[in-house]
Amino acid sequence: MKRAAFHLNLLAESEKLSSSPIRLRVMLPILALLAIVGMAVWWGTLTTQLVLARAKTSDVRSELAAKKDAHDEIIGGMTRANEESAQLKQLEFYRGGCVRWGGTFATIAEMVPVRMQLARIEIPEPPPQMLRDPKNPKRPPLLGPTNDTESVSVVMTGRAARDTTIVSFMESLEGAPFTNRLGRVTVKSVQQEPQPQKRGEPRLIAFELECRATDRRFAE
Amino acid sequence: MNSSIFQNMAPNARRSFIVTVLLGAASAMAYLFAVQPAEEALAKARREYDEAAGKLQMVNANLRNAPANKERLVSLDAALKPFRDEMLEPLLGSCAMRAKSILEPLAAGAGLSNMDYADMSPRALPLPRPLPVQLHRRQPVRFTAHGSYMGAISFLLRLEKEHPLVALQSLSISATTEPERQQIEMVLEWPAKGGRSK
Repeated sequence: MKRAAFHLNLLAESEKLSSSPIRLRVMLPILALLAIVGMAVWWGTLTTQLVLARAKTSDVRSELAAKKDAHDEIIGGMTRANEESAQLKQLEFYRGGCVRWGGTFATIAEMVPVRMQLARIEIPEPPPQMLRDPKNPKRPPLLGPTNDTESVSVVMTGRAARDTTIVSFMESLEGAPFTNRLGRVTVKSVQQEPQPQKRGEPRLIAFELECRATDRRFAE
Repeated sequence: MNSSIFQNMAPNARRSFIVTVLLGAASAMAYLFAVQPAEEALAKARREYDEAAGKLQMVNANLRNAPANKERLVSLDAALKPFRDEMLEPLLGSCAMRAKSILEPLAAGAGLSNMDYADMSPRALPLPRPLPVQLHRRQPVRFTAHGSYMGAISFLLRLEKEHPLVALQSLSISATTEPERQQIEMVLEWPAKGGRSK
C-alpha cells in the first residue's frame, strides 16, 4: 500500500535553525569576545615589556651618568692624544728636514788642496714657497706646501793654480766622506784670471763649482 | 534588502549579531588605541635601550682602555718634549731677539764677532693627516757675523750638538782680505707654532 508523502512546515523563517552542531549565533560573539581578550593579553604583554625595557634603559642611563665624569676625562685625554699625535707627525716632518752640515764643512776645509783658495762657500736660500694657487690667487692660501722636499746645493767659488787641482778637489767632493751628503759636482764656470796676483807667479784659474746635496725631505 | 535580512533574523541571532558587531568594534578600538600605541612605545623604548646600551658598551671599552690611553699620552708628551724645548717663541715680539739669546754665547765662544740677527718670514711645513688644530712652521732667522771659516764651522758644530732641532737653511762664507774676518751669513731655522687649522 502506497503512503502519501506529506511534509508540514509551520516554522517561521526566523525560527529556522541550522542543521550544523556549531551555532554561529553563539560562536560569533564568543570569537569576538576572544578577540577582545586577545587584545587585552597582547596589550598587557606589550605594556609589561615596555615597563621592563624602560626600567633597563633607566638602569643603563644611571650607569652612564655614574661613569660620565670618568669617561669625559678619558675622552678629553683621547682628544688630546690625537691632537698631540697629529702635531708630533708635523714636527717629525720638520725633524726629517734637519740636515747636519757642520761635519761636512769641517771635512771640506781639510780637503781643500794647498794650491787652492776658496773665496766663497754657499748654500743658496731655497725659493719662496708658493702657498697660493696661481690659477686662483683669490682663494685663501694653503696651510702647508704640497711638496715635502727642498733641493739643496753647495756652491763654491775660488782660485787654483792648476786645473788638475780643481779636478782633484771635485773628485774629493764626490768621494767617500761626502757620499751621504753631496752628490754630483759640476763646474758652473772656470776661467783663467787675466793677470797673475804677483809678478812671476802663474795666472790663477777662477772657478765656480756646484755640488748637488741631499734634498731636505720634510717627511717622517 | 539588508535591513530585511536583519528583520528576518531570530531575536537570538539578532542579539548575537549585535553583540558580535559591538565586540568586534571594541576589539578594533582596543587595537587602534591601546595595542598599536603600546607597540610603538615599545619599539621606541627598545631603540632607546639599544642606543643607551651601545653607548654604555663604548664607555666601558673606553674605560678599559684608559690605562693604555694614559700611557700613549705620556709617550706622546715625551716625544714632543724636545720640540717644545726648542720651539722658538718670540721675545719682545721678535724671533730674532729670542735667537740672539740662544746663539750669542755660542757665537762668542766660537770667536765670531759683529753678530747681527734679523727676522725672516716663516715657512710652512707639509700638513699631516689627520690635521692638528695647532699647526707648526719653520721659523728662519738670519744670523750674520765676522770670523774665521773654522770659527763658523765650530759655531755650527756646537749649535747642531746643543740644539739638534735647529737646522741650517742657507749659508754663505765669503773671504775678505783678512782670513780671520770672513763674512759669515747663515739662515737658521727653528720649529715654531704656526696658525690654527680650525
